[in-house]
Amino acid sequence: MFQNDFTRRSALCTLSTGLGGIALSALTADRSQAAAAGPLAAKKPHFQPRAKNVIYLSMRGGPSHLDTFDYKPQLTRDSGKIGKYGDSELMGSQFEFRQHGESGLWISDLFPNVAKHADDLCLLNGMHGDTSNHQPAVTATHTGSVNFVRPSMGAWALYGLGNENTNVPGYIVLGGGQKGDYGSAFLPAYYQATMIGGKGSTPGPPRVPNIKNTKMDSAAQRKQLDFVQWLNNEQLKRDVHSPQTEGMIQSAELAYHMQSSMPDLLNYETESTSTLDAYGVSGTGAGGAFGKQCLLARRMVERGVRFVEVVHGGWDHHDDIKGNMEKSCAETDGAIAALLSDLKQRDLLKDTLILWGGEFGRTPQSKGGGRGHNSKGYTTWMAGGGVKGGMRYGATDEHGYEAVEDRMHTHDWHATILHLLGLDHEKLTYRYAGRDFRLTDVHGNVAEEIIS
Amino acid sequence: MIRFRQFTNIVLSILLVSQAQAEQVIPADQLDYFETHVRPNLVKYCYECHSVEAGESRGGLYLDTREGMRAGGSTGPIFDDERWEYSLFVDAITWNDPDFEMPPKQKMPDEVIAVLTEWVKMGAPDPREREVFEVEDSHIDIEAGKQHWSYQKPVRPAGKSIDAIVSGMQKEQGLTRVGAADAMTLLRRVTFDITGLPPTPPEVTAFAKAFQKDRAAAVSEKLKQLLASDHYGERWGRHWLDVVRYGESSGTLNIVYPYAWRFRNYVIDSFNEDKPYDQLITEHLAGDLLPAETDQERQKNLIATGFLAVGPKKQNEKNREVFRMNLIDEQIDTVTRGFMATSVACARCHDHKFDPIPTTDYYAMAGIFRSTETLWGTVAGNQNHRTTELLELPIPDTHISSADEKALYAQKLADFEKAKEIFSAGKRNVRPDEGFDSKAHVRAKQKFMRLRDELKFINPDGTSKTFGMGAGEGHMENCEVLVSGDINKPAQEVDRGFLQVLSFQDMPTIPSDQSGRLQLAEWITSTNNPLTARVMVNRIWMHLTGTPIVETMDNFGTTGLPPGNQALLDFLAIRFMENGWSVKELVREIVLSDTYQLASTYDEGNYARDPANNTYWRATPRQLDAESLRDQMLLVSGMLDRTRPEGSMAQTAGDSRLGEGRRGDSTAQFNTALFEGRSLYLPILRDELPDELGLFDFPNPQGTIGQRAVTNVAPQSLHLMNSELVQRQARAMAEVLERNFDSPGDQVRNAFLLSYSRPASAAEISRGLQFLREFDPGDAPKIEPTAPVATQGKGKGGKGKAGKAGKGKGKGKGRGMSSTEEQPTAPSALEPEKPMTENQTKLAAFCQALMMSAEFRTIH
Repeated sequence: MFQNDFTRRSALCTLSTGLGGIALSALTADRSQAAAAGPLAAKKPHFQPRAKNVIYLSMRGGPSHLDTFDYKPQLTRDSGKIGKYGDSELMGSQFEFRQHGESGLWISDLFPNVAKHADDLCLLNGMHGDTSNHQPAVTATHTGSVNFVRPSMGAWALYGLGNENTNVPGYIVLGGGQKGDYGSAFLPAYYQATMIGGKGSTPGPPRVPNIKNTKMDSAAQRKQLDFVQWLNNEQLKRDVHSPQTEGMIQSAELAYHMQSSMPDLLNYETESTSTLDAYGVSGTGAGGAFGKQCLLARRMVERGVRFVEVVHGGWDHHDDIKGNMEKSCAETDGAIAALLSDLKQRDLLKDTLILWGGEFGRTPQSKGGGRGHNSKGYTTWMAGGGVKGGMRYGATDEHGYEAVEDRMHTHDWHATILHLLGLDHEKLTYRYAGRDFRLTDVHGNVAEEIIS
Repeated sequence: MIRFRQFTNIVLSILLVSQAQAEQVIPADQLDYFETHVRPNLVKYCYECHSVEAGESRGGLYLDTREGMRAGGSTGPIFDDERWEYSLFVDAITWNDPDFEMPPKQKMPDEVIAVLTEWVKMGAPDPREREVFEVEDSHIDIEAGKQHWSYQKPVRPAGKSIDAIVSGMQKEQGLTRVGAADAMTLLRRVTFDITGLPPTPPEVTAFAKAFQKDRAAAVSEKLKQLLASDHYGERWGRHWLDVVRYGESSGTLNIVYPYAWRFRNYVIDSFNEDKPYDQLITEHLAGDLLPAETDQERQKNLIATGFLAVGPKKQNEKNREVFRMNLIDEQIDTVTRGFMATSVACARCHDHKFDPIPTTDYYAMAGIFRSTETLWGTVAGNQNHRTTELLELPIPDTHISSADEKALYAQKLADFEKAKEIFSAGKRNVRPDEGFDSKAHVRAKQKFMRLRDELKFINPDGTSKTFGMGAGEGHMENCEVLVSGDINKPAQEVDRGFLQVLSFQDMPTIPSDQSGRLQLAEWITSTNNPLTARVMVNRIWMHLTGTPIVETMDNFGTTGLPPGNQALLDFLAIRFMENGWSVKELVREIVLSDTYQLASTYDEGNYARDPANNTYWRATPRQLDAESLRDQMLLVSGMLDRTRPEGSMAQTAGDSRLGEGRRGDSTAQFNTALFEGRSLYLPILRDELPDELGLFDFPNPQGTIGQRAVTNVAPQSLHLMNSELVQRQARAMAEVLERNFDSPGDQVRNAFLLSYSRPASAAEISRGLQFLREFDPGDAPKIEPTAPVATQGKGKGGKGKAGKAGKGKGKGKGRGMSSTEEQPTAPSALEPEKPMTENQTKLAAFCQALMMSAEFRTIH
């Protein structure tokens, strides 16, 4: 529809600095200058941002909102009755809810430490999405699309804002997952996530494979890389337009810088014992791994990584909701609380938007002692980064089945996140195949009420 | 678009069926005994940990139903039908067996033990009734569902060739295709596409000459050669291995499958001999049921069924029934998505929400696999609760046992006997005497079980028995629908069968004494099946053009995307079937089309309208996949061993848990950087892929993968810059160049030719020479020369600690350079690394730069 508008020039503009700009300038003497001029360098947002960085605590499997952050006394009262959502019995939460902080937010006993930060949390109780299948829902929470290959929100953020530090990747995922959810799709390849440390279950700081060159020193490597980039730019001239080659140029440049930046970044062992203990880094199993990743996330935002995602799996509790929730929450509660305290103490929380949530929530009715998938109503929360604390926004019905008040679709969630980063989700577009694409497609409303 | 908005089937009614009544009549006195003495005590002492109600099944054992009690738990049946008094159940409640003291915290009172033991002696008569649910008929309108494009048979389009159809589409959209590719671009493209390797310099020169004379003849002749090469099967077999989620370990606990490689080799051979695709599928599903005239054929047919066994498994599942249904689910998913791009697995819990697939269809298919016995082997213990026998194959491996192996066998046998003795002595000791060492007893028991398993795999002469993974006919039974997929909510039984929406005339029927796998194959490979051919031609087309016709390659259902050009898809599908399902024929037809042979030239106008190249206005530039990138490095360095290694490196990790196994070696100990065979022979261990594969988008084989992700990230660059693998290749390539060419100019020229399959430009040569003059490695961290390390590929006999099943075989194989190659061999991986001369260092840095460059990693 906008076919005629498209010109070679506009393609160049969208890429913000021109093709392979960094590589050409990499040949100049001043490397930092070169890096700062690249497409990954920091860019001006659309308006004054409230958050500079994002840490997304991605709880995979669909954590039960009904047992954590969405207090439903009516569900408890109706426990055992057949609800209106099918033929199964309703199941009240088996956990106590209490009010916390000055705000008096209701949070269950599963998150005793996170609850201490109640006055920093903004509970989004009216979340809803389009699908109750795990993988498509995870994809939708990342890209806004269930079916199509689209850029992930981290890639959009990086495309919109660049990175404050071009020596480290701007979008990092800790804890594994499917590459497709962290991709750049039609955005230039260098906006996709760098995955570090696998599932994080090996003890000690994660290693980035091949981070050290044993054959030549850094100056020699630079010479070699200059030659490589010369070849790549010759290639680019022949190809005229090649996103792949551009991606390789950027990746090689970033890789070169990562050799000096990453070992220091990942070596969290230099932190004080009290910090290490607070995050539970020495813990075994999934809890220790998660603690480590939360600590690394803080170190990353401290160094200017734009978007960090920490993945924690195992929330798909179809049976034994009690035992399973106790386990999953225990694995994460301490580390999340430590992350909030730590950021606050370093005065980073005001610039860092914390997102917590799964791809959907769970049903109020019981299914074999557990709960089923539910995308009609669930809860995520935000903290820091310009979000009002001690707030509850949106609500589900009396049993927590469906979002009924201040409903927030995944698209609205995306729009709000971009807004907090100083980006207008309707203006953050990328022209591809004759059309302007957005993270929110043609949807999305910013939840103005939650912004402080 | 048709949408089927179906909700979960409503359970209409709960029928109480007394299964016991149907089978045998329990005498009134026994019935009374059960109700008075047994049931109350089971409820009181056992249900807390072993009942559906409590949501608990410790050890996978349910004691609240007759079926549960009969099925037993993770350690097997709890009743001994022959000698009731020796039943495990009695052992457990009498606290005779230190491993099984039940209830664990406090023994039951003696009088309770007495009545339960008495009951067991009666033969454990159990009148408990079983709840059977009923799932109501589906509301899905199957006939309406059949209207979806992919459920209707392909229609022969008006266009008579690929080019006619494609250019029709381009015309319609106002796009003009670019010109044809030049000789060298085309040669590099077609050689990679058919064999996964680049052309060698002599091939480049020869082809360029022939091409100039007669383009069509040159291409067709070259293609003939390439299709006849054994590398064709390696390339296309590997594509197929993505579809059939081939892996050499289970994932999760990650137990190694030391015999999976036989299936891999079978797939490669099948593509090389251009086995008709319908036959390939039939062998995959039911090879064991096919007639075979020779042992060779029989062996091959059996190995083919490895398809059903090599998938991911969670062997820490204690509940046998849950595991079984999960295995069946995994098989259904791979069969339906892999062969028909149809997702049936959604219907396990409810009618499919979008596609016209009722849950009863799922269980009709499930019955087929329920009547099948899948054999994946593996050794018990270490949380592995789910093991099976393996297929013992008719033809032994040609491997001569060594003295070591014989000694090892003797040692294991002796250890086994000793452990058996201690264990049996303890077992007889029903009332533990004083001085009974229960810990020693448990240790002996564990050792006994482990060695018993290990000895199964070795012949007395120390050689491994010849085993394969696969399947055979099991106990014939239909599957009951499970409400919400819950094994505790069985509903009515469904006859074994297929998907209704894909039913057509002359559907095969399944005889009651067969599992139905053969008929399943017949249904899938019928020319009336609208999906099978379409799905495969879409896969083939994607591998050759980079752009699939149906973008959602593994989902042709209503939630998938429609074909970009259905005429093209149908044309290819019909051709494919008419040519006897020959993959090679279809590949040939596509490669010989003008469409395939276009240049990859950028065009502003076309790009603006169709950047994804859905109309094939040019050849899409593609990034090399992990295997081709690594193979190319080894080829240009002269290190590539083109022969197929015997077995797989994965075997050396035993068949217990990877890394953590008692006998297992972790992948870190496979130094894959030293492996010189082709990449597809690297160990494909789930969740533990070697970096050279995993970093470059090789999929972790959890399920069917039609199209791999293509990423471009810094860790890849780091691998190219710093990994031992790449540095070794750079050095070897430098040595080859230095040995064969005297002047730096010739070295540079030939390095370009080797790496890019084209001559270097003047600017490239001059920039290359400048690099050689100026480069100085500087203060490189001094490292000790690498000590000699035994590699485990190439049949050089890397032995696992296990020293059991399937070690690398001690066969030294020559390097299989093809005759067209004139590259001298590079130093062997076994030699220590000599310090490099200054010139070699520069040249190696130069060669590595070429390997790091974009052109090296791209097919244009």
